[in-house]
Amino acid sequence: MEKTLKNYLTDNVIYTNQFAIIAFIVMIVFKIAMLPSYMYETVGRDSWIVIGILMIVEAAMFFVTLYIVKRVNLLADNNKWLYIFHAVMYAYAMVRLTALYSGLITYTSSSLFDQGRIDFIVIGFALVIPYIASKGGNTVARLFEMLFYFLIVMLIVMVLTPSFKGDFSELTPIFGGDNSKIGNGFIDFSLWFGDYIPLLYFTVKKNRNKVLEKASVPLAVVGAVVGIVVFYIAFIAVYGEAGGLVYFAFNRMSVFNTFSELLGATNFLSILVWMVMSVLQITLLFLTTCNALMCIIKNRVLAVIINTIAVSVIQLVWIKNLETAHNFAIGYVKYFVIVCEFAIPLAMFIYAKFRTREKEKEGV
Amino acid sequence: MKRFLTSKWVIMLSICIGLVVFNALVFNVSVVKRNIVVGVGLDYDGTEYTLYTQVVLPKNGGVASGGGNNYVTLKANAKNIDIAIDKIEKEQGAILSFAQAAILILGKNMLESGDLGLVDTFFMDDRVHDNLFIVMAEEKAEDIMNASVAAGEVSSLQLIKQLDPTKTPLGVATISLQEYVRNSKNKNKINYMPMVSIEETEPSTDQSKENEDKADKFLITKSAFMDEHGLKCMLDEEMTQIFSLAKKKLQDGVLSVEGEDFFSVHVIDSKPSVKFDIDKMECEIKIKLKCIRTEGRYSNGKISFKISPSEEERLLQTIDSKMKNLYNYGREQNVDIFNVTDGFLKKYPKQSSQIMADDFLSKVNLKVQVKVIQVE
Repeated sequence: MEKTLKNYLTDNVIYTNQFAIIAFIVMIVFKIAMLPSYMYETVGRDSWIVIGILMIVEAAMFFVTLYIVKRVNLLADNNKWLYIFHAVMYAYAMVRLTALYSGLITYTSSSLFDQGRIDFIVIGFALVIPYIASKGGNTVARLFEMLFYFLIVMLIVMVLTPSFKGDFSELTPIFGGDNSKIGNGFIDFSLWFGDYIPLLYFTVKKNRNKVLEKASVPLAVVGAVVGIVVFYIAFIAVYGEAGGLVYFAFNRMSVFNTFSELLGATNFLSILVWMVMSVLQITLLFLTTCNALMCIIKNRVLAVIINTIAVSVIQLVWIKNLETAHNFAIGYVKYFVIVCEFAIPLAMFIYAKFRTREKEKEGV
Repeated sequence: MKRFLTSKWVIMLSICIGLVVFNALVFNVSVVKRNIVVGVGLDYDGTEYTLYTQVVLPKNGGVASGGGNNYVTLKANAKNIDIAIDKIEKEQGAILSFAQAAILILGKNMLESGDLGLVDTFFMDDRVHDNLFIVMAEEKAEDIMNASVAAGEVSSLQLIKQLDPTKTPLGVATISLQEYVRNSKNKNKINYMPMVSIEETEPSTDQSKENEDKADKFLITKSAFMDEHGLKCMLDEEMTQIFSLAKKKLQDGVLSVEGEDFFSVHVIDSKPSVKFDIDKMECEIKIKLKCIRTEGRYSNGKISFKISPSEEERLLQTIDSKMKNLYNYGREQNVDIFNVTDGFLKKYPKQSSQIMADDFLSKVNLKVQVKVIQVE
């Protein structure tokens, strides 16, 4: 194995607080974009309960992931059985990247331009995202950490200056409507969940600050769960049965603050917040595809090049618009994704237990 | 060669080239080729819709440079809004920018026989602000758009000033695009909007308008109620006041109490809430009313603004009877003004067949409870 690749395999070590920051951002970013509208169309006014349950499961899985990545380095381990893991990870990350990347491209083309050309937006991102990802997990985590403080300040400003006319009676009756589609809400949108999976390629090192070590991850995941549920409640109170007509929930909701009333419909604060968060999330998914492919073909540069071309071609030739991406996401692929979301962490949990016991025997 | 290809300078150079290409080829429109829309009007003549857009024409560098603004109303007839927008854009050679549009005025004909689903076109356009106000013109939206406002302001902006004062006043039932569309999607809810009428007044003191022999002012005291099929009924000034008292949080306005000794109270703060009880067949509207007597009385050597116990009793009776009159007026017009059916359905979803019965509203007893808190 080339020397640089060896270095790269151990370049994925991050601190617990960085894990928490990544968890917080990836847990919320795509769930406040198009998902509230899709969810409302399927589940109706009870979508906030469905998302709440799904978020609690997601939060629990982050702790399982943390348990795993504190014990093993899945990127550097040379166990032959891990090839299966890398192959599944590649397919899983590629599927999610295909659907979610389309959201970012469409959002950029509609929010920053009048008629933004998708091909040039894809070219723009094809320069930025692979470059960040090529620097390795460590750099991506640092980028998350640096931008987190700006994002949190902007989010707080938006939350503390609300000016919306909600009707909370729109949330009632709870489970009083057509409940037959509630089950679909748990399965149809699996592609928007499982944000803990890409973190399996990291290794978490204990933070020297004991408070950060103990509190950062619970605080981040609980904050994300509460934030998402509150956002969905507010979304339903504001839009009610018109929720299915709202194409991009975060952008639309963010106009209901006093700053936005002065600026008009284009809320640059929300555009900035969401674009930064989504670029980080897409970079993380892209990094996962690169890591998985690199572990199979043992060549980092080639993995980045192949994935850059593959991801760009998929968007330009096949996906093209959000509707295709949505149909792809709620098609048969959702079953593969939902199985991966539980099977991968479970398998790696068993692997981590096994490796820990092995290390103890070896006295490492 | 390999070192050169992986150096940061090559990456930076390729990013620069990428960004320049990206910028040069993406369709971007200069601000000069944009018409900033501040208000939109929509009329219907039975066959076609007329879209009015009031746009800003900055003069001498605009307001920021001390030049001020001119406004022009552009219009187009078409079968739907998208075609009308396209027509205006082609005629002007500029793109209409709706991000700053703050009001949508619907003509009476539009509400009576037009397709109200067209309002969704504005809602679904991400460039249109969800806080856009919707109002109905007493006659045509065109009249409002072309009004020569005495205050020297363009009509759209003058209306926004009146609809969005610092404190929400009694008697103006404003509604935003977001609220309107939300209500319209619920078939059990009735929708409403303020009605704007024009009254002639003294000419403007604005120098640019000094030669004009007339000027207009807007009155926003009445309100219109509509469902998916169109306009259902209108409320006069007094009923609109009571409607706003029952539905909205208010911070301003004067409520008059008729009778032998006429007096009025100034609303400082008012918060309504509604309760439904199907066993008692009762809908209870509770109002917390913080108020003060508008005229002071001289007694014991000082001026007092206190409402006497008998006046408070009269105030409560007035609100109670006006509220019930409004409810009954709605029932006569076949309009559930307080959305009582929707409230019962939300609380008792399993008894929907009973609630949706034609005679349900007539069986419901309206109870009004007002708690008066006096502010000295």
